[in-house]
Amino acid sequence: MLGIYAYALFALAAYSFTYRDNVFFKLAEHTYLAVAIGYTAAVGYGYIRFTAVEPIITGKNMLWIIPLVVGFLFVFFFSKKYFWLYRFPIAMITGSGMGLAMSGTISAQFLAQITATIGLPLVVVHPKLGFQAMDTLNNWLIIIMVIGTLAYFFFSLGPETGLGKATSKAGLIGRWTMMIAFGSAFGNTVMTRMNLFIGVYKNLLRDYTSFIGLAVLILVVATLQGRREKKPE
Amino acid sequence: MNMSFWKKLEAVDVRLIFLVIWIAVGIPLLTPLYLPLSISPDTVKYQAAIDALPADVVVVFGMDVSPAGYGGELGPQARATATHLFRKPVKLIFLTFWETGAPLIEDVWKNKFVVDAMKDKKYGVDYVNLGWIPGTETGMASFATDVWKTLEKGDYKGTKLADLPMMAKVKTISDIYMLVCIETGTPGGPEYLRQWQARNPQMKMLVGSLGVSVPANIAYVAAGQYISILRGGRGATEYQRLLGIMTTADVMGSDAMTMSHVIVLVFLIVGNLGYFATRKAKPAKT
Repeated sequence: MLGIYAYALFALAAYSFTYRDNVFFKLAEHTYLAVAIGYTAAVGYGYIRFTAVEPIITGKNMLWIIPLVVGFLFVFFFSKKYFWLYRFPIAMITGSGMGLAMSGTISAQFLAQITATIGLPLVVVHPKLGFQAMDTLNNWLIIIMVIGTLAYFFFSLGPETGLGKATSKAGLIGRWTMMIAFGSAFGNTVMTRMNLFIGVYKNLLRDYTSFIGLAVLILVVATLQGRREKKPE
Repeated sequence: MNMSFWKKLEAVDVRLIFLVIWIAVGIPLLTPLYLPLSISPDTVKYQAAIDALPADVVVVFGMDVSPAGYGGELGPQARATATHLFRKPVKLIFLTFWETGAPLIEDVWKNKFVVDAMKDKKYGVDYVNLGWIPGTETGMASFATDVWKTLEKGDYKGTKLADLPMMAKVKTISDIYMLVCIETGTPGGPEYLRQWQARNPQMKMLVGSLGVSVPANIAYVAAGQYISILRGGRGATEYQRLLGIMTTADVMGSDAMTMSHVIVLVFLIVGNLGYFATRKAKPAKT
């Protein structure tokens, strides 16, 4: 029962921001951050203790001292004098991360995407269903939009040349393509937020008593606080 | 409608819009409306890919989610996918590269459809929970090259891999037949592509993503790198319907989602009409 009330309190406190900023929202915001950081720190501590500290203590693998010492250098982020020490772990993480990511990026995200685009059939014919008009149109759109977007970012030809003018016109298609893509991304973002809201709303409605009282309480406090803040004007 | 109407609309208190959303979304959550829902080809392909799994292959279930993502769109996706996978005669490895994902794996197992699907499955023989693997992309690379060395700590509860019979044949990424990744963000699908599929190009991939990540992920579906994708909450609802595991609460959620889409569309249309109507009236800039 306590869990339901805590859930309802924090959910409503978070959504009370839609009315106006207030003390309940701040409480929920800070509590969320504290819990998230606390959880991550506890899980991380448990993992490091088992993976690195215990093998050192038991003498199983003393090499774990090296990553532990390097990791400890992060603390010097807070020191003006020894800040340079903090650069060692950052350099190691950035270097190894970049190296690992780049090796897979070329094949998985660069070559594979190019190959797939080049390999698109201009006329799609299904072995059983015959000519597929929508798939054919889709492939044409992909090809035109890819070329248009590439042309938008091609700056090497001057606008006075014939080829430059053609690139510029193709770039217009690219601009429209990007606008459509950004619109789609924005729409999906809104829908994701809505679904998040629906998830919380569904949980709140599971138990009316836990939320109606709290909703009224939060609204009243938010209103009173808002009025108090307005008074000096 | 004269211009003053649009001017008034421009100045409407944003809290009124929030209130309309609260009410519009709240109605179907109180009583199901059974609004129509079409099934997208991506969801059909997602289901077909799991249906086509051969017996005894190893499938990794990447639960790379945050609590917020899980509470909204990814929870239903994860529960439906787990139900479907447990119905198949395959070996399942649950893991996560998000520290917040580990406890949520066990939450998925509490769902009544999942419980029903896994009742004949035995832990260690048919499925395991390897918990959180730290290091994000570095952790993925480590797992891909040497599963046992990466998991010296054992599974989620600390049981050694040697005591989990199904792990005997899982040594590297080459032993994985399919990855199903339910993802909130980074690390997620693209990182698995770089570290796992780049090393094992035969490994099939299915991704369930938040709606916000769909435009970024869809390119991988078009390129054939992912077999298919579940598109946010809508994809989850479609999949639940295909599997026949929709409860009344799910129908209510689906209706609320449809209502929210309609409301946003109405606001978009009205907002754009207002924009064009008032733009005409505004004097040209000098």
